[in-house]
Amino acid sequence: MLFSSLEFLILFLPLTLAVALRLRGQPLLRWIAFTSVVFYAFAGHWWFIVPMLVTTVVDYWVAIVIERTQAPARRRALLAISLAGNLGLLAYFKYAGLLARTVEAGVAALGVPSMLHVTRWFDVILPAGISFYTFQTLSYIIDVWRGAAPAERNFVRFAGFVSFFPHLVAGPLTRHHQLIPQLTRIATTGISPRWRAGILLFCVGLCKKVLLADRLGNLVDPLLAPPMELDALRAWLALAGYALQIYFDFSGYSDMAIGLGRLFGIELPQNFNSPYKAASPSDFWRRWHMTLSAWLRDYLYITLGGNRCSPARRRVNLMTTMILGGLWHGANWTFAAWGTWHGLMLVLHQANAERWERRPVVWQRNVTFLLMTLGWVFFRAETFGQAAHWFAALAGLGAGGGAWTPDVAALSALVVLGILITRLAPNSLELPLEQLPALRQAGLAAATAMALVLMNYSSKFLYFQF
Amino acid sequence: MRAFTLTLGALLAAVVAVNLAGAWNAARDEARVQAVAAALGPGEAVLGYRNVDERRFQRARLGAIPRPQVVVFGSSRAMQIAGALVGVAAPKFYNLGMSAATVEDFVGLWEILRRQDKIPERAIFSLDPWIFNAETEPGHWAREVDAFTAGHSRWTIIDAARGAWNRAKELVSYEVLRESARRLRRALRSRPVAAAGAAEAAIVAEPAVGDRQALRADGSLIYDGAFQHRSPLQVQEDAVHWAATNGPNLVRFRFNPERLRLLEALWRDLRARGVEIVAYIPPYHPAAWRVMAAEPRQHEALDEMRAAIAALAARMKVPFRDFADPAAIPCTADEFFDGVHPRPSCLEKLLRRLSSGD
Repeated sequence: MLFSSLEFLILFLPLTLAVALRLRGQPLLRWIAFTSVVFYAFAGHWWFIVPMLVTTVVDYWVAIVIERTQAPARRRALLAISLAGNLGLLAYFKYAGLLARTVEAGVAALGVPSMLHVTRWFDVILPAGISFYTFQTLSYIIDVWRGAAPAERNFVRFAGFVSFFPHLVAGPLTRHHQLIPQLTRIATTGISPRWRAGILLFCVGLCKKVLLADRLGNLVDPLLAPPMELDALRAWLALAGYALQIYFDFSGYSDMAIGLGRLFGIELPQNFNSPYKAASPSDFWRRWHMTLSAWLRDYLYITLGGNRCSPARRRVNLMTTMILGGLWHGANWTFAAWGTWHGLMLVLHQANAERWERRPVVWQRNVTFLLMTLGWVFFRAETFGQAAHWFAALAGLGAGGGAWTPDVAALSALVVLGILITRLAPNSLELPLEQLPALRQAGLAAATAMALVLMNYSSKFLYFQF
Repeated sequence: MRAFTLTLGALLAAVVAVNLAGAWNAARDEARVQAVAAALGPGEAVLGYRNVDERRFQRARLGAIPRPQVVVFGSSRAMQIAGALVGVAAPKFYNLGMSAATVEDFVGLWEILRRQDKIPERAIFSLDPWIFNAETEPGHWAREVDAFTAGHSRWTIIDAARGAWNRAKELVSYEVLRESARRLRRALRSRPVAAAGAAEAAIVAEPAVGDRQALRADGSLIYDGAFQHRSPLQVQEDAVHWAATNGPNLVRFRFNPERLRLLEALWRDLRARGVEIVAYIPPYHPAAWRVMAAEPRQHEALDEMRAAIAALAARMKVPFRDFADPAAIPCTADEFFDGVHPRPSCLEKLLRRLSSGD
């Protein structure tokens, strides 16, 4: 079920809220967990709920046993069970196909005919949101193991933490200390919705998704469809268009998720802080998909040694973190290349931080935007051949050429509008939604009405595939 | 929050009002369409068909005709097929073609035939590339397609609820809003969209059609004289222009596997009810075909669609011929009205080759 669907807005959400408003305590938590599972069952295939429930049950149990256990070796074994279970599910659903394809391609390159056809065994559908809830429960288990968090004894509350529908499918990646205490609070006090802040933020997100991201997608996709014959103008327009599309798509989803959380009296963490205003690659990663960046920093980069090691080792840690972060986004080596690109940018920036800082802020922002945008080539391309083709077109070596068509004009206008919004407008969470003047309210309402009418033509969120 | 709520409420109410008015306007025409469809008899034709909502008219006609022996499913590219070309005269032949038909149209028409127990013996499918294009919105026959996909054995409460929900959603649909606005604009200018009232008066005997566009009682279309008598050079220029600039259905082609599955389900259902199926891809004007063959995106999309249909036909053992290349029939340049619509002489050869299987 999509947030941007009438089924969700007219049937699911009002019913869920109406019942939740009348409940307290354990029944409220049960209702939230139940409706979240129902929501997830409509997120693609009903069986998606099976791996999620397995993760929930196993991690609930393992955390309690870890807390009770004193012997370090046994605690480590329990942690290993959880990691193997979580990462095993993720590996099977997400990465086994990539590994099998890579092995088969390698075998084929050696001239040996493939006998196993193993790729067929791993040709499975990726359950939406598995990367998100797996990382959530991983951080919980690791924190319990480290002694940094208590094990949750209330199964329903734990299930609510894992499955709370606003963040379930595409984040924000919410940590246990951010959500479990809030679930405890609303179980006592009731959900006490923040109607105005929730609804208006949801509408901002809906408009970003339907009016900007989807319109950009409709114009960018034909340009990037095979055989991708692009002149330089179209190549750059497609690149800028995609950079804006993915930002409005994902940040729009995050706004909707945070807005929905507010309707249940829960504040989900911020996920975007105007990333295209970033003044350096490091700054970009403090602003883009903030909850994932923080997760990777806390559970991967710092675990590898973080900054407390030699400069060379630090660079290795950074590259490793970014490459794995890239692969988290999808089972394709192009995502690893995307992570490598960002790792390189971060390493180079760190090495030249002083010279970078001496440049004017406008230069820093523009160059950062350019570098981050170029990285999207690897993210969007399905193969390295396509990426190379696109880079060649960006350099003016493309095969295509063409007239100034209405589509190109529309894309140009949307790109200019998108850049103005991302560079000049305040972040969604900075908007004074509680005190929005009447005229701006009317403007947002008009945009929302347009989004609702166009919603039938809305596509899935790009981050659902991760 | 009041300004937000009032503005949003007012704008959505306006959208709903326009759509309701459009629906009311359409319902008012319905009775007239029904009357024309019922009055049309063998040997007669309806003038002014261009102004009629084809889908409504077909629905009404299916209620009026007896059980046909042979039917044709297809777009305007198949609408020239008259009973005489198939060797079966009306009312044993009926052409279910309509402009820009999609798989949903086929399913909708079939569902109506099935409910009325008018199962034909033979069905000819003319399959155009756009029927599998994800960019083409279905938008028609929602109730029939829902019923068909739900198992079409019975109309359950769930199906009814789903159908009602889908229709309720149309009240705020952009596509419906556009259509409603178009209807209302025309109504305000006193030019009814379904000018069936005028058409009723214009039911004429076929020989009296002359150079006017008309629809025969067997569902086949007669083009107007100006279109029919264009010079070969005009037709050729038109064909090249179409292929070079229009072909958008192919340039923007995104294959929709759901539609292929729907077609497969349709064919299975026809088979299960004893209907013999044959299928073909209609030919393009030779000049248009040359342009399309040279344009990689069009060519690639067309190849994808041709391969998908061929695979489906082979899997289901449905006799199928790919006539996209006019040389496969062969049809010459002067056997087309434009880039995509073959003349009856071409269709006659096509049907002969289809039935002979050579």
